[in-house]
Amino acid sequence: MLVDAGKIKVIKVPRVLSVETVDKFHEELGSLVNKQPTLVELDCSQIDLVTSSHINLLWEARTLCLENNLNVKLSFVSPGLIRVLKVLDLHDIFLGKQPEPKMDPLNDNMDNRVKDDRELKLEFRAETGAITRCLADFRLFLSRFNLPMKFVIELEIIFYEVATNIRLHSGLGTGDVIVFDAASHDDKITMIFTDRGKAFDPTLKGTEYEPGKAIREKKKRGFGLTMIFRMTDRIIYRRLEDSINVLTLEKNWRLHHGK
Amino acid sequence: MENNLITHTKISDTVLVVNPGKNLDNTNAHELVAVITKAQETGYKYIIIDMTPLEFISSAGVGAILGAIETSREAGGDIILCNVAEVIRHILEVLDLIDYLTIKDNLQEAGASCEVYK
Repeated sequence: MLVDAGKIKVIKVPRVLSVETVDKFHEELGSLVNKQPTLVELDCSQIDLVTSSHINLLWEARTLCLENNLNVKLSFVSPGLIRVLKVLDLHDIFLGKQPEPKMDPLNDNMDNRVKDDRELKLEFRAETGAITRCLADFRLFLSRFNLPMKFVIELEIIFYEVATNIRLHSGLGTGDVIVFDAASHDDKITMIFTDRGKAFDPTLKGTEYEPGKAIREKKKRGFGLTMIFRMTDRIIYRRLEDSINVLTLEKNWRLHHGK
Repeated sequence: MENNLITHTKISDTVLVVNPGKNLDNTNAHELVAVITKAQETGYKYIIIDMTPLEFISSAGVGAILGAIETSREAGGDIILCNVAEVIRHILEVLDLIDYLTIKDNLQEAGASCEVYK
């Protein structure tokens, strides 16, 4: 149940709480706390049906960490668990108050908004500065879900690489707009990019990549698609009749967490 | 933009430490390439990239580093990464690069490895 990730220690909260699983959890948590990590991550990915015993266990784990002056956070928090924490008035205690993304009306991001707690829509021009600013908005959106840092950095890279590919290769001018929709579901994050550039189906592109060869050949470019493919679980491209590209990318919480 | 500022410090006639800032992406990867290329041409065998503040690296940033390694190795030196944060290391792992890169825990170890091979 214990995953060692350097200064961050991850411990999985059991799905089924029996005397054995709870004892084992406490034992592993105690051993982990003794190592004095920078952060203890309570991985909730296995909790599909939230019970009061789960909440008690989380509370005990949090208390133990705080008593030992350790930072603690929950990860892979499902909407069901969020609802229960809200009902029990424990949401802010466990997950903290998340800031609203600040939208600057003077920047190039147009009509950008968090549609609700779990959805984000960004419209931005096909230029570097706008992509960087939208990446910051996307990062803030992701911070709502207490995802593990490695999962978040992959999502950020997917956003950045896809947006940059569209900017560089779609033939859009700097005045043209890219629309980005993101949504958090029970088990995955979906990202949809829509633009009016040239048709480009990344799923038809080969991503031949051999790291040793790339270094020997002093290759400086062409890693973007490889990164996108390696970090994404599902990619769907559609070219709509009125010359609109729609690229949908999915990244699954549970699938990746097993790795 | 200060987050993306590339800075460098001379350690010796053969060792240069380069700091890529907080983000290494399309806005500054070309600058890193320029700094490294100039250093290699000037005769620095070892270039240490101190990644202490680095939080985000795009494919352009990865390419800037990978594209320069072989030139240093051909000259009998190397490009050494140090202070690599967990998330940045994760990106390198996703790209199967760990076995191909020289990575040290900190600047001291990186510097020591240059002395060993000098």
